[in-house]
Parts: sequence; structure tokens; C-alpha cells
Amino acid sequence: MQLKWWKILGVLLVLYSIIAGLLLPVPHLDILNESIRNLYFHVTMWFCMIILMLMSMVQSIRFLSSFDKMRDLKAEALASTGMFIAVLGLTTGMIWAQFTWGAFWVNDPKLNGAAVTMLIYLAYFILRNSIENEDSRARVSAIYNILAFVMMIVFIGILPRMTDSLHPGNGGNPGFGNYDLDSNMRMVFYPAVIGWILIGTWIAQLRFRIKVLEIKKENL
Amino acid sequence: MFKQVKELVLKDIRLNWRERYALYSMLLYVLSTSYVAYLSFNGLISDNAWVALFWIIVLFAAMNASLQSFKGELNNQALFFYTLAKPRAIILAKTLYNNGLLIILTLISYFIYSLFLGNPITANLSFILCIVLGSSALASVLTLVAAIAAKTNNSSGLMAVLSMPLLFPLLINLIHTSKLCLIEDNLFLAANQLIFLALLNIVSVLLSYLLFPYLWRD
Repeated sequence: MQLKWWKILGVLLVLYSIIAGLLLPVPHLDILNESIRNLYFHVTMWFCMIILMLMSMVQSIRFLSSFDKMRDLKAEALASTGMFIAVLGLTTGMIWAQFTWGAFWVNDPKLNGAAVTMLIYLAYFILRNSIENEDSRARVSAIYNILAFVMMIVFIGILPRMTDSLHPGNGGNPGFGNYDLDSNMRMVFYPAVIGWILIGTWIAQLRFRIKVLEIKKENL
Repeated sequence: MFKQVKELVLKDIRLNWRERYALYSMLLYVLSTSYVAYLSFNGLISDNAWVALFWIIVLFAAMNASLQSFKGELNNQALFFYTLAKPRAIILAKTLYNNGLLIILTLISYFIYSLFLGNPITANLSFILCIVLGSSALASVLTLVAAIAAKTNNSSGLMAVLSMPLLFPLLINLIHTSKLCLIEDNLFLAANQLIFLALLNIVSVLLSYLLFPYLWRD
């Protein structure tokens, strides 16, 4: 078995982002202080999740145009990996929020967006499990997956912009609005995003292969 | 295509009019929930709670109403209908019918609800617009979800699970718009929100138009 270059790249980038993220200097801002480093870990999770969900939707669309079962399995593996990444994003966010805002959960458009996204994809998995016929399961869940992604983009892309958010860089908060100027942070943030997306894709690929092997084993 | 849609809508209206009990049950649902709300709030309700409760009642009424829409179509009579009409005509007709039904149902709910709990709305024109656009967007999303849920074994249970998170953005937007209508009569204030409602409606109709043909064939 050969190791693909992008997997090595993913590991290196994530390692780099962890080391550099904890060691490199960051701008000192009120309230945020050193917790600004959470940007490298928390925000990257959401970027990675959206990309994984996008890939999952693309697989669903390609399933509907080809009716190739493998595409459906890929869509499921990508969505469940995205869900896992979302759980990580939520946990890192909640710990950060406890120290910055004083509560694990607050009523904020971005938090609502995250909660709704996770509810939508939980519903997707429940839908998958409640249809017995394999053909119609693949088809129906592909359709719901496409619908879910579009609604998710509407929610997290459009709605938070219409109201104020507690998040740094929005509204009257100090914070990430300024980080754009700091090239040090950018040098860690973008590699971290790319690295996590590669790692996420790798996890999804492994999940997909395990699933295929399981199906082969059942059919023996 | 348009002729088929028209015929199918007429068929739905005739069929549902023949079985009026379903329509009456929706009205009774709105009536009894409004009355329960009246009793539990003792007639004293803050404006914000008024708005939130109104849309929650409408949401559940809409969910019940649209659950009916694919009762027979995807199972027994399905084959018969699909030999007669294009799937896209079927989903468009269903969406149109549900749009009409829910707009009327929501307007009636508004009347019943304000009968019991009073009416704090000052911007009537904006609010009526918000009701019409909002319930039609609800109908468009719910029609497709009802079609998806009808494919499963446990359609009524799944309907709530599948549609609730999808309707979240819509619901929050509706409550936000209605709160604007509480303050003053200014159509421009609510205009942004109303445009969002219309766009959401267009997006969901487009999605059902594109996706439904893949859903019905077995």
C-alpha cells in the first residue's frame, strides 16, 4: 500500500499548526488574551466540517445522476466524519466560551447555527436508519442530504449576518476583526484549515473503506 | 405541463373537499390550541410571547396539514398517478395546493388566535404580508419533507424530526419579522426580512422541482 502525498501533507500541516499555534506570538486583545489561540483549533473545525458536508452533498448529487451505490456510501462516510468534526468544534467552542463569556452556552446566532446544523445531520442519520429497502434508502437520504446542505448554508451563511453576534469580530466585540491584519496568525490559520480538511478527508476515506469491507463480508 | 398542474390542483381540492373532516380537524386543532393558550395565560400575555406562541401553533398546524398531502400518493394510487402525469407536475401541484391551504389556514388561525389572546400587531399590512409569505414558505419546505417522510415506515414521527431543523431559519426569521410588526407601521423596516422569506420560498420550490423526480420511482 502506498501512502499518498496529501495524507503526509495533512499530518505535517496539523502538526505545524499545533506547535506554531501554541508557540508563535499572538496579538494581545482585551477579554480574549491568550485564548485567541483557540482560533487555530475551533474555527478550523467549522471550516473543515462545511467542506466535508459540501463533499458529501456532491457525492449525493453524483449518486442521483449515476445510481452508483458506492457514491451513497461515500456521502454517508463524509457526513458522519463531518458530524464528528462538528462535535469537536462544538466542544472546543464551549470550553472557550466558558472562559471568555462565562457560560458554556449562550443565545448567539452562530451557536444556533451550529446546533441546527447538528440537528439536521442527526435527522439525516435517523432517516437513513428508518428505511429498510437499500435502494430507496440511498435515494431518499441523498435527496435529504442535498436539501439539508442548502438549508444549512442558508442558516449559517445568511441569517447570522442579519443580527448581531457575540463572536469576536462581530458587533461591538474586540477580536478577530483585527486578526486579519496580523500576518503571524494567518500563517498558522490557513495551513491549519487545509491540514484539517485533508485529515478529515482521510478519516472519511477510511470509514468508507471499512464500510465496503463490511458489505463484502456480509455478501460472502 | 401547466395543464397537468392545474388539473392536479383541482383534483386535490375536489378530493379534500369530499373528505372535509381532515380540513375540520385542522381548524379544530388551531381552535383548541388557541383556547389552551388563552386558558394557560389567563388572557394576559406579553407581546413577545404572543408572537412566539402564534408561530409555534402555526408551525404544528402546518406540519399536520402537510403530512396529509402524500398519504395515498406514494403508496397505493402512486402507480396510477405516475402513469398519467409527470412527477414534476405532481410536486408543483402539491406545493401549490399546500401553499393555498396553509395561507388560508394561517389567516384563519390569526383570526381565531387574536380573538382569544388579543392583537398587539400595529403594522397590519406588513404582518399580513409576513403571514402570507411565511406560510407559503412553510408549505414549500414541508411538501418536500412530507414526500421524503412518506417513503419511510414511520412517517408522522419522522416528519417532525426532519422538518424541525430545516424550518429553524424560517421560524426565527418569522418571529423576528413579527416583532418588527409590533413596533410601528413601516413596510421598509420589515422589507429585508420579507425578501428573505420570498427567497427561501423560491429556493425550496426549486429544490423540490429538481429532486422530486428521483424520489418517487421505486
